[in-house]
Order: sequence, then structure tokens, then C-alpha cells
Amino acid sequence: MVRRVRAQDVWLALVAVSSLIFVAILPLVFDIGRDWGAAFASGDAGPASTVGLVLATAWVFQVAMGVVAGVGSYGEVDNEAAMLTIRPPKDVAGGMLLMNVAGYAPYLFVPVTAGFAGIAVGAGTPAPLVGGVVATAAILASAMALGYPAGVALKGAIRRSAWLSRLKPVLGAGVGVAYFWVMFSGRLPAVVDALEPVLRGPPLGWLADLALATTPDAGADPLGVAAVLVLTLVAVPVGTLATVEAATFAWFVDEARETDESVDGSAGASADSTAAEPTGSTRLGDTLGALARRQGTVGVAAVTLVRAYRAPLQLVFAALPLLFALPMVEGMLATGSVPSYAPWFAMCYGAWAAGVAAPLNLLGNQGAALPALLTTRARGRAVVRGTVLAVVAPLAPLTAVLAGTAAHATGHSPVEAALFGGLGLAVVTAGSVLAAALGALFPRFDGVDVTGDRTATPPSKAAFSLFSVVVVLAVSAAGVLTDRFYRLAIHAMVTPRLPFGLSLTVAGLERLAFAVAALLVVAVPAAYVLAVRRVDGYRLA
Amino acid sequence: MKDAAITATELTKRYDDEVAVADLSLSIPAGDVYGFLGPNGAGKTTTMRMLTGLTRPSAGSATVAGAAVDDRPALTERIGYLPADPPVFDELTGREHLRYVARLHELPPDESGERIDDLLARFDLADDADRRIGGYSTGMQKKVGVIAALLHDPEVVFLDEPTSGLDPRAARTMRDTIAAFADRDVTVFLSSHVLSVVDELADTVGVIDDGTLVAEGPPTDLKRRAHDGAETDLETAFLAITEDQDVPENPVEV
Repeated sequence: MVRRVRAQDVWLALVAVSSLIFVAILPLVFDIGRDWGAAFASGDAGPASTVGLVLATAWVFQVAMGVVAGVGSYGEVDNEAAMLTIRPPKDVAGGMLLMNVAGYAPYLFVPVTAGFAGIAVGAGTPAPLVGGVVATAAILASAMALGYPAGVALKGAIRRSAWLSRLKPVLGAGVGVAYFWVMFSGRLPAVVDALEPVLRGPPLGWLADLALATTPDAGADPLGVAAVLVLTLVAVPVGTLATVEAATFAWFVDEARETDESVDGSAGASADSTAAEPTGSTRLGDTLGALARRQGTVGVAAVTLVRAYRAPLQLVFAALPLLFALPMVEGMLATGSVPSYAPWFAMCYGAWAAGVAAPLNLLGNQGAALPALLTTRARGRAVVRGTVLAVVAPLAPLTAVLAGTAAHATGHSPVEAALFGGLGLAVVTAGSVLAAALGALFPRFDGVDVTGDRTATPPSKAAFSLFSVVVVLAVSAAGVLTDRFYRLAIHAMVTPRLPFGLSLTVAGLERLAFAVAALLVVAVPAAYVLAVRRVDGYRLA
Repeated sequence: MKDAAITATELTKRYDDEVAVADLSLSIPAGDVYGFLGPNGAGKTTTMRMLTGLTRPSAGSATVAGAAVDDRPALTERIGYLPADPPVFDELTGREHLRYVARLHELPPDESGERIDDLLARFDLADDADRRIGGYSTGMQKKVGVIAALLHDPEVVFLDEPTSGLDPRAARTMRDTIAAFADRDVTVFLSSHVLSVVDELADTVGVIDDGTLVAEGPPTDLKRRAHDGAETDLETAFLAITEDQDVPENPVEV
């Protein structure tokens, strides 16, 4: 048990941080509720419409969460073969719906209860809490009864369609980016505004009537209260039956098989296609073959890319910092101007993501196939080069274009912008080589649960921390040496924080940056040699 | 007298204070099928890992097809290895995985393509070769692992439980393949709990118990020895040899 908890420590730390943030906003919610309660007590029913909007938004959000749960791993049965032969599908499906309702309950009940506790305090009576709790239960039950079976049915449709199955990673990534875009870019109010007529009108508008039914002078309509209670009582059994039907549709299915060309462009199974394109050849392999001489390098690169495409959850850790970029992009769209740090951000993230995506755990990523790799003729050179090639080939050009474009947009000359692009290529390549060395030194083989039964094998904490520090240092040094604004900004940021009364002039900062850059220039080939030797000498326990 | 394809001298592996394999000495002639038996946790997999260069021995030495086990570049050109858990990527199709292994062996794509197609057909996997391995049964994954181990025509093949999870037809194909390899002077180091397979194929059987080689010899001799000269089957012999008893200082010669 202790070992299992330790294996999930990164995830547990994220949960702990999220919980702290969640707990931190509760006093704020309580204060807002208290103000509204005081307004109700003074005969002002104005906040009722805002309460309604908040609850209706929560209902829509909960439906979306239900869909995500159903279509994702929470719509799948653990030990399916055993479970579905022990209990009938209706029992299992009903249990799954109940489990998901229970799982989401704290996320809804805790903040809404905090808000209504505030209203109760402001209004001077505990009665508002009753309406708030009943309304929350109605929101949770009706939203999940609608969203969860829809998600499970969508899962069934995806499983039955080869086309949807193939597009699933792209669709999932699109939905994920859209979600975080809305949540972190400040677009949420705009979305709520657009949906406002629906959110304020019946039946969603009736949720406010139910929630405020026990709050004196809040103007709740008894007809709305009755209507929302009846609808909930109808939605729950209908949703449960729909969940059973959707689960049967999704679970008892022969999954669609891909019979046409596979992702990397290899030939299909037919004799004709095999004759047209020999089994040993692939379009991806041939393309990578133009960049690498040895077959082992091409093989490692091609497989790394194909696995990343087909199991994108492995990359979830590399994508997290992108959330911080969303406000920047939002600001750029809103103001029409690009912040001066954008080229450096592009380079920093490009180098970091290239390293984290694969090289930072190049041995651990092999999983059960590691013995196969170690007993073939592929040497460490091929493994390191192949892994680096797999991330540099797509990310270096992208980073170069982003950095160059951002540099041009921030007022740099075309020549300078091209230099930024070139620097982008260099830092992504250097970053992935450094990551390969750290990954070979500190491999990690334990996966962490990303969702339900899906696991990812992130880099070890030592490799992750060291690499992040190296990338920030490298990009900071490059910025200090090449960009006057960046130099001054870093100087202003660093000097007040120097310990022991140390001081640093701008010229001193430049010299320091030069030393760091020189060290890194030497470190990259050294890291390559180290990574190759580590892989060549690696033995299983 | 054939040259030895596998030799081991006092090969030992310790994990802290625990001895997984103790002073194992072997001499397996080229072209032989060597059946390696032992109870769970006896040290079979550790031995195979040492002989394939995947684990460094704590003491002793070994060579496989003339290559020292600590000389990985020389060793990997000569050996093929199928671990008990098939070393495959779930995200790839069977054909893609084999193509990957072929590239790791630096086999030219056109040459490896023909060989992959041939082996896929031989193991009755051609129709499923373009499905993802994640959707394969254990037996199908094992077939992919076996084909991967044989792709580069190794001189010595290490097979850890090659027939477990295979259907009768596939198991027969596997046995025929192992026999065919032996006919071509490929040495097979075969670890299996399916004693009938070992009995049918092995020229010599070694029994390891608690990290120590406790018996070694041709299957017929082993069967006879276990019952004081009376012929019995290999299962009975195995049970008699590995029953709870003090491990002898030297392996029993039969």
C-alpha cells in the first residue's frame, strides 16, 4: 500500500495542491453568499438572478463532466470480463452511474453549501441551507442522469466506428485544449453571457426557485420549485435506464478494426498491398531515413512518434505548462500585440517539452519492451539519436517558426527574427540531448494513474527537476546575452533577491550568462556521450 | 564432440544478501536444445538474464556463441531472447512491432519485410498483423515476441515459457520451429513449465532449484534416475528432484 501511494506521489501532490486552492476559495464564496443573504434580508431580491445564473451554469458544467466521465475511463468497467459475468449489465451500469454521482458530489456540494451557508448567515436564518442543499442534489442527479449516459453512448459510437476511433486522440486533444482555453483564458464569462438566455429561462432558471425556496424574501416561484422537482424525479429513472442501454451499447461490442493503412503509412495486411510496399518499409520510416543513416535510429524515432500519437496521455505532463501560455495568447488576441517575452517563452517551452516528451525517460518509456531493445544490435547511439530525432523533427521547426514569428511581431528585424528561429532549433535540439542524459541517469519505470485504468510513465522527479532548471538557465542565459530588454528585466528581478549582501551589475550578469552558456555548449556533447554510455551499459536489476 | 555454444563458470547472482543463482556452471553444445526446469523463483529467469547480458553477474563468467556475456555488442548479434512477458508495445500493430525490431537489428527493410511476412504466415498471424497488439490475446503477443526473437537468425535462442498461452496449433508450430532451429544447428535454451514440450525437444535437461543446478542430463536418464533406474515420466522426475530437500553441493550427474 505504501509502495503504491509512493508510486503515485506526483499525482497526489497535484491533488493536494488542487484541494488547497479549492479550500482557499471557500471563504470567498461564503463572503459573497453572506452579502447576498443580507440583501435578501433587507428586501432586495436582486441577487436571486445571479444565484440562478450560477446554479444553471453549474448544471451545464456538471452535464459536461458527466459526458467526459462516460466517454472516458469512468465509463469502463474494471475487470470487465469478471464483473459482467457475475452481475447483469443493469446492475453494473447503475453502480457506475451511482459511483460517478458520488465522485462528483463533493465538487458541487462543498462550494454550494459554503455559498448557502453565507446566505443563511447574511439572512439570519438557517433555512436557506435547506433549499441550497436540495437544489444541489437536484443539479447533480439530473445533470449526471443526462450527461453520463450520453458519454457512455458516445464511447459506444467511437468503439464501433473505425473512423472515430482513429480520430479519438485528435478529438480528445481538441476538447482538452478548448476546455482549458475557456477556463484559463478568461473566456468563461463570455461563454456564460452567450448562454445567458438559456441559463435564465426555464427549465434551468427554475433551479434558482428551488434553491431559494427556503430563503425569505428571495422571490422564489413555487411553480418553478414544483417543476424542477418533478423534472428531477423524472430525469433520474429515465437517465438510469438510458445508462443501462448506453452501457450495453458500449460494453458489448466488437470494436471496429482498422483495415486500411495504419497511422505510419505502412501497408495493410493484404497480399496486394504487401507486394506494392514491402512490409519492412514505411512512409514514416522512409522519411526519417532521410534524416538518419542507421536503421536502429529510424526504428526508435518512428516508434516513439507512433506511440505518442496513439497514446497521447503519455504526453500529458509535457502539456501542463501550456496552460500558462493560454492567458498570454488570450492577451495577444485581445490587445493585438505580442509581449516581448513571447519568443523566449516559445523557445523555453519548446526545449522543455521536447525533453519531457520522450528523452527525459528514454529507458523507462520502453516499458515491457526494454529487454527487446537491450538484446538487439541497436547501440546506445541509435537509442539516443532516435529518441532525440523523434522530438526534434516535429518540435524544432515548430519552435523555430513560433520564436521567429513572435520575435518579428515584437519589433525585431527580419534578420533578428531569423536568428531567433535558428536559436529555437538549437535550444530544442540541445534540450532534448540534455534530457536524454538525465533520463538515462535517472530512469523511471513506475507508471502513475492518469485516469482510471490509463497510466503514464513520467520522468523521475530528479530528472524532471534538474532538466527544468537547466532549460530555464539556458534560455535565461541566451536571453541575457542577446536581448537588451530581457537582460534588464532579469537584472531587475535577480538583484533584489541576492543573498549575503551580494550585488550584481548588468555587465556582471552578462558575464555570468556567458559562463552559463559556455558551460551548456560544452555540456551538450558531454550529455550525448553520457547518455549513449548509460544506455550501452544499462542492465536490468 | 560439438563446440559449446553456451558455457557458464560458477555464474552467481546476489541481490544484497539473497543469492538468486549460485555457482552455476553449464556447457551446452551448439545445436542442442537445453531444457531448463525449475520451480517458480528457482532462478531460471535470472540465469537467462545473465546469459543474455540483461543482468550483470555478481560472480563467475559465461560466453554465448563465443561472446562474453558482458560484451553486449558481440552478444546481441548472436542471440535472440523471448522473455516470459512478451516484450511488445501495445500501441503498435504486430507488423509494426516486428518492423521496429528488424530495424533495431539493422536488417535492410526489403529483406526484413519478406522475413516478417514469412514468419507471420508460419505462426498464423498474418491476418491479424495489422491490428494493435493491445487487442491481442496473450498467445498472439507471445507469437509476436517469438518472431521478434528469431527475426535476425540468431545462433542461440533463449526462450522463457514460449508455449504458455498458445493454443494447441500455435504450440505445435512453436515446437516444430524449435525443432527446425535445432536441425539448423541453432542452440535453444528453453525454459518451460510445460514438461511435455521439454521432454519432446530437449537433448539435455537442467533442473535448477533454489538457485542451484540440482540435476542435469538427457531426459531419459533423468527420468530413470529419479526412480532408481525405473523409467518414469519427466513430471514425476521433476517433482522428485525438486521436492523439499537439502540442496546437494554438486549437481547430480546422470
